[in-house]
Amino acid sequence: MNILIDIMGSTFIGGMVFLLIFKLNIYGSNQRFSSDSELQLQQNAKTQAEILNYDLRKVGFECDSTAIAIADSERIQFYSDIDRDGSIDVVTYYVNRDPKLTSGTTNPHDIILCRVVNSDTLIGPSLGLTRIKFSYLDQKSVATTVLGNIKFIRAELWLETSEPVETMFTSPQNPYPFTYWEMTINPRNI
Amino acid sequence: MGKSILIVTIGLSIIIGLFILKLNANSKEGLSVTVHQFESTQARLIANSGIETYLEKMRRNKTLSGSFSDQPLFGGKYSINISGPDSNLVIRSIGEFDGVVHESVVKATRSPVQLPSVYGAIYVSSTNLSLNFNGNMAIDGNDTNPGGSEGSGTSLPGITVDSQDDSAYIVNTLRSKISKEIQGAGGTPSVSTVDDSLDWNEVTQNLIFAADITVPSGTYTAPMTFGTTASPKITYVTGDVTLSGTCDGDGIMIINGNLNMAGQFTYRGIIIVYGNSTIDTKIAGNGGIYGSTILVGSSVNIQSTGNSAFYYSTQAIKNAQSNLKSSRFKITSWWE
Repeated sequence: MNILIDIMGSTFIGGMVFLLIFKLNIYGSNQRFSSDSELQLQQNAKTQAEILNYDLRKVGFECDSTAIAIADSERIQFYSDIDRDGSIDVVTYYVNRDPKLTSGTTNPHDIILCRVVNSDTLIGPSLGLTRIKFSYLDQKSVATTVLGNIKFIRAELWLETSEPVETMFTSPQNPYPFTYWEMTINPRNI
Repeated sequence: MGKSILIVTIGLSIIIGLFILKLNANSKEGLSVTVHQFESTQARLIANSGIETYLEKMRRNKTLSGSFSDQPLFGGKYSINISGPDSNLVIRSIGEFDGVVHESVVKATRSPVQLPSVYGAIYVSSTNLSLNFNGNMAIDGNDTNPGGSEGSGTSLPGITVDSQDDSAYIVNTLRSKISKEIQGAGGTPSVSTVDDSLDWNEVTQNLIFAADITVPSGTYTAPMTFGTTASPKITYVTGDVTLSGTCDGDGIMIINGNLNMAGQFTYRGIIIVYGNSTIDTKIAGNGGIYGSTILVGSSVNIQSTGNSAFYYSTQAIKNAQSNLKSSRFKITSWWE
């Protein structure tokens, strides 16, 4: 009888331990996924910021006339010898919301920031971008729409993970953790 | 039973440990993303600061060029290379911070020196003018080369002043012997007026900013050189000065105070004597000024007893304009 109780007891305890390990494994996987997603989000934000930072600092490089041609909240076009080949290039950034381009992710908010140099269009992955806003400031850091008066370009990026992640900061209505990146650039050539 | 519990405990510890290590790895990776962004920004700022530092040095040292490696800054370092003529300077800076490198390249031109308008061999701008010309002085508004030969430029008046009253005062005050020696446009004595609206304080401050030689107030008896024809200089005299030795110079001389020339003084270019109140100019030597002499003050008193000569000279002024270097730069492009 004692042996039977021992076997039942040890089976129960073993089952509990097994369940604990199983649960821990699921929790660990979720945490890893959440952590990996957040890291990916951060790296994506940095990548996009670096690309914009690199280009926007060169607005007007080697250009003698008004360097910015279009200054909208989601589109900027400027002149610069961006490849340093001695000829002025036209660089355009604009937002593409074509869902076909973002079909690889489950996030319905994804958009693509396209970079066009002259006629060469570079359409990369979304990198989690869901919203972008350019704003333009004059010498006194006051918003301006006069192209010749623009001295600062502010870029604001909103990014979300490509897949839903359960965290304490997400909800079933918006299960995608997001990050925000803002930078104000003073191109020295304008 | 005890062994089993031990095995289970160790197993759980390993699983939890691995799990924590994985989370820490992500945290560390996230931190490295932020740190790399910081390092990139620092490297860029160091490279740009290096350029600005050397532009400032180039204001003072107008022949500065070449390579300057491993200059420490902000915990990093930068290397600078300056090349090209003043009309097309290229300043390349490589900033480094914690192994991250950034290159900035700036093209710049050294702005030309802004010479003031020249109205005659002598121009006096004052509300209260006093003259006492003796000796054998000569004031000639006809273009004269520094060697004494005739220049090809258009003649200007010998003396130019701001008002008709000053002009009449000069003509009435001059002795007949001196009067004949004031030559230039408009006949003898060549005295004329001009409607001048220059801000002379601004003009002089701009020139002082680019001064190559700064001479403190005082009496100088030893021979002095304030630039040569091949290398004219901007000379700034900070106060009252007496030049009684043999002095020679080329370029622009700005004297913020009284001028007393008692020796052999030869200058090619523009001399500006200015002050906020009374300017006393005493000329007792045998000097010669080729270019233009400008006297600006609320009250200007000129006394001459020597054999000085004041010649308008386009050659001397053009030489100053061509060879003087300012301390201002125009940035034509900035790659960062």
